[in-house]
Amino acid sequence: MEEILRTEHLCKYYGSGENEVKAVDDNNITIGQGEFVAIIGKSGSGKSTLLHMLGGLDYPTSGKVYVKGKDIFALKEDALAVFRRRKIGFIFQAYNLVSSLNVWENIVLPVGLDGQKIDEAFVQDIVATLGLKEKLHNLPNTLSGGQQQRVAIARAIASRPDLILADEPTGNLDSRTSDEVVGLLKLSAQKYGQTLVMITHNEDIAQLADRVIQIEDGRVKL
Amino acid sequence: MNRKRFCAAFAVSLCVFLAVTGTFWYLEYRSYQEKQEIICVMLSGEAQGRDNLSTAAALLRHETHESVAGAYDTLARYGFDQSYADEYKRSMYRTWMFTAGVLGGVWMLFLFHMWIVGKQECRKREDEFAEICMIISGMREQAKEKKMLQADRDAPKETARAGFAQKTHDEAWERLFGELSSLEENIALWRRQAMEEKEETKVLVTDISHQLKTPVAALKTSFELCQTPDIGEEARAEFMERCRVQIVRMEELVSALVGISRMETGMIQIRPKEQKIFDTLLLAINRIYPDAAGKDIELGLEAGEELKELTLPHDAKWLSEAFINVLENAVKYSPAHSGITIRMIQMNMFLRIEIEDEGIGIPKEERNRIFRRFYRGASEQVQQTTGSGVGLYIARRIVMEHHGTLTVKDAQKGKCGSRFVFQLPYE
Repeated sequence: MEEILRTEHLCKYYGSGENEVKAVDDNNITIGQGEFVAIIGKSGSGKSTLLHMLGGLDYPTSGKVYVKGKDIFALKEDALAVFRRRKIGFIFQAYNLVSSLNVWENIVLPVGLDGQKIDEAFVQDIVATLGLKEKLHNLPNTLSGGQQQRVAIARAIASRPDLILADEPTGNLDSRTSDEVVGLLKLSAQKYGQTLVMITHNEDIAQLADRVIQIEDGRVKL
Repeated sequence: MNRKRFCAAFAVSLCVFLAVTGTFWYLEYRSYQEKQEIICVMLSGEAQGRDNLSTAAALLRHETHESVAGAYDTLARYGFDQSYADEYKRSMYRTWMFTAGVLGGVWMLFLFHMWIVGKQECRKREDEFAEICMIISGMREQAKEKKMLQADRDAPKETARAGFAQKTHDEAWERLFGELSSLEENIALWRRQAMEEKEETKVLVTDISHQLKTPVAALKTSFELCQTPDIGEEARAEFMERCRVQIVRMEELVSALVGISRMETGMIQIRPKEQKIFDTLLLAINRIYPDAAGKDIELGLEAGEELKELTLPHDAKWLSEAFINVLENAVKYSPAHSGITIRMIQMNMFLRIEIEDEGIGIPKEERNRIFRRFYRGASEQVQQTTGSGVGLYIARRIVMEHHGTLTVKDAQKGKCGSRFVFQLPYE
């Protein structure tokens, strides 16, 4: 399988000496294009740190991350930001929507930041798939958790990234809504040929993944 | 960079060069004139018998006497009006030449730089074009091989999108470039998926033959034993019974394999039609009803009235097959006099159907594996029950073809039992 994401001896240490904490320790992961990979592990096992580094949101202590064969930490900061914006979609547990913008504005924000013309037909398609048509003019705080997370998903997909990184996207949702959100993520990843890497502590959700990576104390458990 | 832009840059830089040089020359000339004026004022002061102080004062006040005009004549008489006649003039010429030289050099360097940059951009463009050509020819290569699957449908759309770059500057180029390479990767992905499917079919054939080998071998042994003349009637009956069991097993296996192979080799395509999902579910329930009744298992259906009319695109024949497979398991692995609850729940994007039993349940570590082909639970109860290990596999495949999901969870009420969750999209 063609790889889209690869890490090489990826490490992230905090503190030094006796207080050194190895949040991520010597990880070598390869993720193929179009794969749906679930990363599971207990809280504090380093999975969020790992995901942040995979997306270039955090710098490693040592080691490399290659996205489509490109060493992302070799890029200058501005170039990395552009790369992130175009190639990677992020979904967080806390949704991270801009509260003063309505749903539509939130969804097209990253596309607008990139100075691209908004492909309205495409975004409308996403909005329809995610059932947000009636809510486009609402402000985020008038929506339920599940709806807000769907907005966040729409925002992540709108820039047509090749890679979607989701950090506990269902952490704040009830079990049924969780199932729905993951089903939607899977559906859209299939529809748009995207790779999906998702952190979760819910093993029921991991059932839907093509592959499960288990992290324990910063290392991939084999 | 094209010729037009280069010409414009040339013209602008030429103007800048001329303006800057002209200004310097003019300033230098003014300075020469001032020096000459000083000399003239000094000469005329001398002629009028003024002392140096008043001459200097006159200079500072910039008083020009009529007699100064006379001084110019005097200078001209001594031949100082010629070019190169006096040191000041020569110095002016030298400064002029120097300024012109330096500025000219700078200008040339600038032009050279422009030229180099233009060349580099040209080369970059050429490289990019070459790469785009390669991508496109690569796509054509792939198109030649018939198995393009979705790529056939999606590619024109993607290309149209990629062609959106209206702006001609680098940003747009980069984007076009990114889009094209994404497209290339997508096509490669779909192609690979098609290949994998083909590969899977091969594995399937191996699996099928392997699966059939066991009952056939057992049947053969039992049959041969039956044929032995000096075997007792009792033993013969037992071996006959074993033969029967193996034949039943083979029959089960064969019918499962027929289903799976039709599914896998794409002989049967799922043709979704907008129809009532409730009817499809009912179809499945009616099929397993006799088995459930035989074990005195109560079937409960929890669905709102509005859901009975709900339509969604699906293939009734196949989807009911998926329901049947799950329901059959529920009946098979539940004790007598228990209950099976079927719930329909309307979610935002999916219809959620839960099938919950009070049976033996599925251990957490096995939940991922039960959907694999030919996987059967490790527990004794499962091993003792007949089954081919393909039911759930087929069910999940069918649901996936409908863009839905099928997972298993703990039962909601009570400790034992499992709950299978279907999610089917409305559109």
